[in-house]
Amino acid sequence: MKKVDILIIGGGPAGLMAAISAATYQKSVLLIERDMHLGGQLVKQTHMFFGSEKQRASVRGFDIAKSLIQDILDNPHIEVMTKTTVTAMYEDGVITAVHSDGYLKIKPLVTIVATGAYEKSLAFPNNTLPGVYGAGAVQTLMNMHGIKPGQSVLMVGAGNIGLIVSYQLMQAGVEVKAICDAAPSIGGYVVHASKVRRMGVPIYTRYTVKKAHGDKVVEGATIWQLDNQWQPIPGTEIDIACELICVSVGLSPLSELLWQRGCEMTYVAELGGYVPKTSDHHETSIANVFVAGDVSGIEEASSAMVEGYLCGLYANKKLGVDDKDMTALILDYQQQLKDLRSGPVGDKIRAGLMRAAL
Amino acid sequence: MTGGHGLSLLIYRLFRRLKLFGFFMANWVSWHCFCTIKGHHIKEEAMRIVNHPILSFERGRVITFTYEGDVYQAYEGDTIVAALHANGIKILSHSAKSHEPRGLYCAIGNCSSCLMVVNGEPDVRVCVETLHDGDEILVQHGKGRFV
Repeated sequence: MKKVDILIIGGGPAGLMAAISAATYQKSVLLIERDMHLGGQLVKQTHMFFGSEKQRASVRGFDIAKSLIQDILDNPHIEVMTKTTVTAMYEDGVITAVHSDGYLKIKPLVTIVATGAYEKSLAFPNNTLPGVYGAGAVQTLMNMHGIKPGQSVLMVGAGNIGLIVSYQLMQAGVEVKAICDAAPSIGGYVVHASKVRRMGVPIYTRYTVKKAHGDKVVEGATIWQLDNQWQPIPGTEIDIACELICVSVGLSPLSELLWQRGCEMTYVAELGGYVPKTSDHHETSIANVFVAGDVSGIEEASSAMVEGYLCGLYANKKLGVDDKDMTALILDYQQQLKDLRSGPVGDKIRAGLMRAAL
Repeated sequence: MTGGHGLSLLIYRLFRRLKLFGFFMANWVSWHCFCTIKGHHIKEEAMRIVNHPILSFERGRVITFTYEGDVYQAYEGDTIVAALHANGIKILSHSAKSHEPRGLYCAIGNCSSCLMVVNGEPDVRVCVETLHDGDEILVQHGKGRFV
């Protein structure tokens, strides 16, 4: 049995920041990541981040990841285990994990779950054909491994991820044939939409995929228009020849561990699906189990990082650390989170979080 | 494509078994195979990103692997799925009931769409596994079975 003060599950933006702040007050921290490297989705983000300077605005995602990972590896209070999958959280507080050397039991005092999210799929005939990929998978292939996922692509989804990945595909030399989105308007920021439009990519709003074509792999797709009731309009079909259909229709929290532990869960559409109910200190209905980042509601990497940092501090507070600097830090980060969620873009998030409050 | 590989594959496997020759010899043979088989280099060049406005890609030494018995090359450090895509290969498994081809979907080890048989071991999530020199990769048909 391995004993640690604070266990963090997930080494993405939230988990990295949680580890850094959790280790501030000499507590022993264990950071577990199932992939072979830390960084989560940050390592494939080539665009510059928004927000303020405190959230590393105008730094590219992979550079943020690099500096956070270095901080963690240099920190003597943080132990990192990669290629390790947490398999269960038991009622007696024992957490089990699997890695290449075998099976591991861990008994932490506090656990921060920062498992992130998974990509949603979209139902259309032939959506299982090789060549129908999630936007994150496309980013992995091209931004981490330097491989084009195909020579031409239809992007499904005009949210920020769909628009950003379209632009990245063009940077990689892939022809973006079109972007379609079932919603009546473009969901992503205007700045991203303008970027791809300037490159001559048509964006079809109120269009969805009718069918993917191809015998063994994707060779094309037919899209068609939707009416006000979201019903397809026959006769509006557009055929698109492409090797790739990139699906960017949103994310859902990866909350299996929380379900298993018995955390109180609730469905909040604005947050991407079932999320844990949380206190204003990010603690779930199960004492000493905290959540940070997308697993507690889909937002973006900047707020995940701030949430992660806050959670590391809350965990210390829970363990009895009482420090004047910490109180100031908590206030500062709470304000940052508020700022990130301010304005009309944050309306949905704010409404969703209210409904997920314990 | 398969027919032309038969002999090269035989030589390749023979040399891999002869441990005395070591992997240098095996590498030489696989290099030789690649130089003689047209098409691989072309695919490789077509799918690898060479000039990128923001990113640069550090590639390790050249290693070889087989997919369905055919020999391919990749770089050390590639994940299995990256190596396959660099060679234009998208079909990773066939579904259990309808036997339809399946490919990558999430690339983070979550969706199980990319399960393949690697060196005889089934159900390997090839999107999160690193490729090793000499790996033998097979398309998985339905549920995994240990032979």
